[in-house]
Amino acid sequence: MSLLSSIPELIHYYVKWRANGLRAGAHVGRIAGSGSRFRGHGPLLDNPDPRRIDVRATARDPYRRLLVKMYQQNVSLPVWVVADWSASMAFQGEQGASHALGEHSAGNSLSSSKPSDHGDANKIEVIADLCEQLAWSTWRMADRLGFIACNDGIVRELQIPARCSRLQGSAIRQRLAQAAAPQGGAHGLASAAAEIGRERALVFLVTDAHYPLPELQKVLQSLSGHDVVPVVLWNSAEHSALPRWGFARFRDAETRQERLLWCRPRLQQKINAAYEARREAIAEVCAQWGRLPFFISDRLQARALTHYFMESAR
Amino acid sequence: MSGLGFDAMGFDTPAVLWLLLLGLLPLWRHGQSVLRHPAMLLMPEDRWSRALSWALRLIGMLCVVALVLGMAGLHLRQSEIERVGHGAHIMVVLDRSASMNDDFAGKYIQATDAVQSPSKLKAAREVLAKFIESRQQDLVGLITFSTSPVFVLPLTHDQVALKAALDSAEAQGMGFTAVARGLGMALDYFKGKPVTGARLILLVSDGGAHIDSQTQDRIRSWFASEHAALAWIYIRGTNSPSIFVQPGEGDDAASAPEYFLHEYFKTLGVPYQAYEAENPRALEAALRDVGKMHNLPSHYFEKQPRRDLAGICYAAALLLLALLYGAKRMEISQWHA
Repeated sequence: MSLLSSIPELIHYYVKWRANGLRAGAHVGRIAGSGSRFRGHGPLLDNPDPRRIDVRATARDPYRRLLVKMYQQNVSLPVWVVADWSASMAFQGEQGASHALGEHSAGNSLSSSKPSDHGDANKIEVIADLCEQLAWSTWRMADRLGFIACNDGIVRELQIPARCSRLQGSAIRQRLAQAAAPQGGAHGLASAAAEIGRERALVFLVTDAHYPLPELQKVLQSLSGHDVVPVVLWNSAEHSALPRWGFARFRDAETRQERLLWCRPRLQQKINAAYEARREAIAEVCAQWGRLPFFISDRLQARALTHYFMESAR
Repeated sequence: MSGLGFDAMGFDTPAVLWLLLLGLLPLWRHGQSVLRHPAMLLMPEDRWSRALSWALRLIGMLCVVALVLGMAGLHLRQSEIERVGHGAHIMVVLDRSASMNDDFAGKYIQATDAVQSPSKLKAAREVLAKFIESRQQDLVGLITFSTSPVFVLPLTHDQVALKAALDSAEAQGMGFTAVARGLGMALDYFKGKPVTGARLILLVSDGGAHIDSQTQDRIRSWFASEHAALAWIYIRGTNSPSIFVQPGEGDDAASAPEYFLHEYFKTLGVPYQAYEAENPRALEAALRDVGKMHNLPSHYFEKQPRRDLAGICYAAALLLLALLYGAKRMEISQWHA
């Protein structure tokens, strides 16, 4: 009972393409088998399943063969979460910069398996939540979930091969909690495709996209063999919840670039406008590769992600 | 004030100026707490923020510079300023003998003020002060004498100093009237200096003194060589003889020195005028007459005292520090502070 009560809200994802896997699952596959989608008719001798004999087709057949209905095999597909593990992902709005540093060196504070539901969470916690919910959702659909984190290369200690298990989510959460704080750049994202394999997968590319857009294009190019859902993760503290008045010296987490900013409502407006423009630019880039980005601000809403898949299904 | 060049500046301890190198510190140390932000890439360019950043840096540098200059003891050196005046060089030789404390012989104007009529010295001082005030362009010096002469003030324009010098002559006089030594000192002051204006020795006394013939000759030659004119304002006291009236048969230089001194001055061969003042009004008239003397443009140097600028430096540093403190108070060290 306790396990059931910890089931999070499921994400009902959906793909339009035919998965070319072999294992039985819930998605329409390429091979013939026991699915629900009609594939065509074939002679009974080649498909020896008398239950599927189609009387009307048999009557219509000029060669007087016994025809049976054939169906597409429903197959499972691999689902991967490719997470950006660059330094900018370590941003925590609420706790304050210096505080966050000390906390991360001792390990991330997500030991609790239940997602906390107060205030704005840090980005790593959002990734853990996403994996948790995806683990339950993929297990229900008999799909496999894997996890890859990339900074300047691939973070090997965080690489978890795809498997179909409802405990996969808590396994990933545990790994995230034990891992060192995110650091470095995000160039490694482009090499994640090699780890996923050739079989076409549904890939959740979780990133904050705080790098030049050509780099994002490169990443999407490398993953173009898969169905990529760009999940753009922002924290409201980094743009809309800046201090209202005062002088603040900001240092970029990745480039170490420093700038003194005079925080005031006018600057806040400018920053909001800059983020809005960025949102549109990211959407434009992602649209070129097939899917619009899914933006998460602070917390993951499973229902919103389900809506996202429903909209793209239309 | 004028001619405020770099040469005019000086430092008490120039070695401290090496600390000026500390002024470069704000260029690479800002001393602000840093907030980590994931995407400076998205932060818009802001002119005001940029200006503020440089302004804070500049204020920090100026603050260090001001403090170091203050520590080094910045000051304006003592300087001499050449001035051109129009007027005479008037050396006032003021008698301070005991008799000057008596009051006038004649009828005093302020009779209603019956408490005490002013002494001759006081009247002379007041009238002289007024005279100096009216003769702004003259250079005036002061020598007082009684038993021996006292050099009080060299020739100057400084009204305040002159007033103070006259006030200093307030103290009770004493002893004899050493006219010759007073004149000698005045002439000695002129000696060896270029003649840049009309020279006048203004002798203010209430009595004469006998000058022996040797001294008479020496003073005569000095007057001739220094081109100094002489004006004698004789303050006539109670029962004093007039200098213009020849005394009786029995009197000689010892019993009526005033008349013989006047006679001697007439033989000096330089412009000489004598006035007899029996009351302050007559004294004033006499001085007015002296003021009409021919004026020549005169050159002279005035000394400017050293001015300490360290205080200004510290005040500037304090102001800048206040600005920096304000900026520090405005600083955000935490999100949602």
